[in-house]
Amino acid sequence: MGVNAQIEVPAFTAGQILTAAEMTQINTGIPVFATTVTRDAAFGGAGEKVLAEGQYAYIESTNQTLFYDGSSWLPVGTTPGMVYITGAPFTAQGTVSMAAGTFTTTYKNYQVELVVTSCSAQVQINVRVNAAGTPQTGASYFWGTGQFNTGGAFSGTGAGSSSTPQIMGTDGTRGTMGQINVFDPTNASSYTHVTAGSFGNISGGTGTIYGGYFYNATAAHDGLTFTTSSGTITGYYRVYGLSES
Amino acid sequence: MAEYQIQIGNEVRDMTEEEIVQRDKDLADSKKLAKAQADRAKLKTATLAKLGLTEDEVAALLS
Repeated sequence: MGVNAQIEVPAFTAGQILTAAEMTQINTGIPVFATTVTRDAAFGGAGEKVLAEGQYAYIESTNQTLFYDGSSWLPVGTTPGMVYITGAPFTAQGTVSMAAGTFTTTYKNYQVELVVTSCSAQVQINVRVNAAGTPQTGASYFWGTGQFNTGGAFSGTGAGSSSTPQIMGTDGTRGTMGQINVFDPTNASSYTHVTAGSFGNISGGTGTIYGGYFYNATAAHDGLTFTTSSGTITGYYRVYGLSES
Repeated sequence: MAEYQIQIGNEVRDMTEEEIVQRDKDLADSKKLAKAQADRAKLKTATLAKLGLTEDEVAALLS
C-alpha cells in the first residue's frame, strides 16, 4: 500500500478539531500545476506529500490530467488509436497538396478522408505521393481500380509504370467522398502503398470504387497531392495517424 | 501558358512555371487515358456485336 493510500473516507462532526494527519488524508483533490517541472518539485520536500501511486495532477501547459502509477506519470483515459493530424478545405482547385512533413515517423500508417462536395465536371483524381512536399510525377505508379456501378455492372482500369494514378473520380454533380489508406510512407526502404475506397465515377457511371497502387521505388513520402484530370474540385481533406497502442 | 493555382495545406498560390508544365502534362495524359478507355469500350461493343451476344450473356458466361 502506498503512503498516500486511504483506508477510510472520513466524516467529521461539527466543532471537531482536525489533526494535521486528518487534513493530509482529505487533501485528495487533483492539484493543478503550471508544468511537469513545477509538479515534480511539489512532492517530497519538507512539509510536502511523498509522491506515491494513485496521485493525480493536472498540467496547465498541456491541458492534461495525469496519474502516477508508482514509477511514472500516465495520461488519464484511453489513448486514441486514430489521431487527427491536419486538414484543409479547398475551393475550386485543380491541385491540392498536403504541406511538407504531414506524414512523419510518429506513425507508420495513415488514413486520409477526401471529401469532394462539388466539382466543375466529372473528373478523375490523381492521388500522388509527395517527397519533401513535392508531388512525385514520374511514371512509377502501378495502379488499378475496380468500379461497381449502381446498375451492378463492373468496370476496371489501371496501368503499370504510369504517372497518373487515378484511383478516385467524381460524379459530375455530387462529387465523391472516400477514405484513403497510406501504408509505411516514411520508410525509405519500402514501397509506399496507397489504397482508396470511395463512391464516385472513374470510368463511366457512378458506383463504388476501390483502387490503389504501389509507388515503384523505395523512398520516403511525407504527404499526398490530389490533381484533377481536368477542371476543379471543392471540399476538404483530413489526415489521421494510426497509433500502435 | 494557362494560369493555374495550387493549394498546399491552407495556402493557395499561383503555380510556378515548372508546376504549370507538369499540370499541362497531367491534363494531356488524362486525355490520352480517357481516349484509351473510350477505345476499349468501343472495342468491347464491337466485339459483342461480332459475337452476337449481350453484355448480360457475356457476364453469365464468365460467372
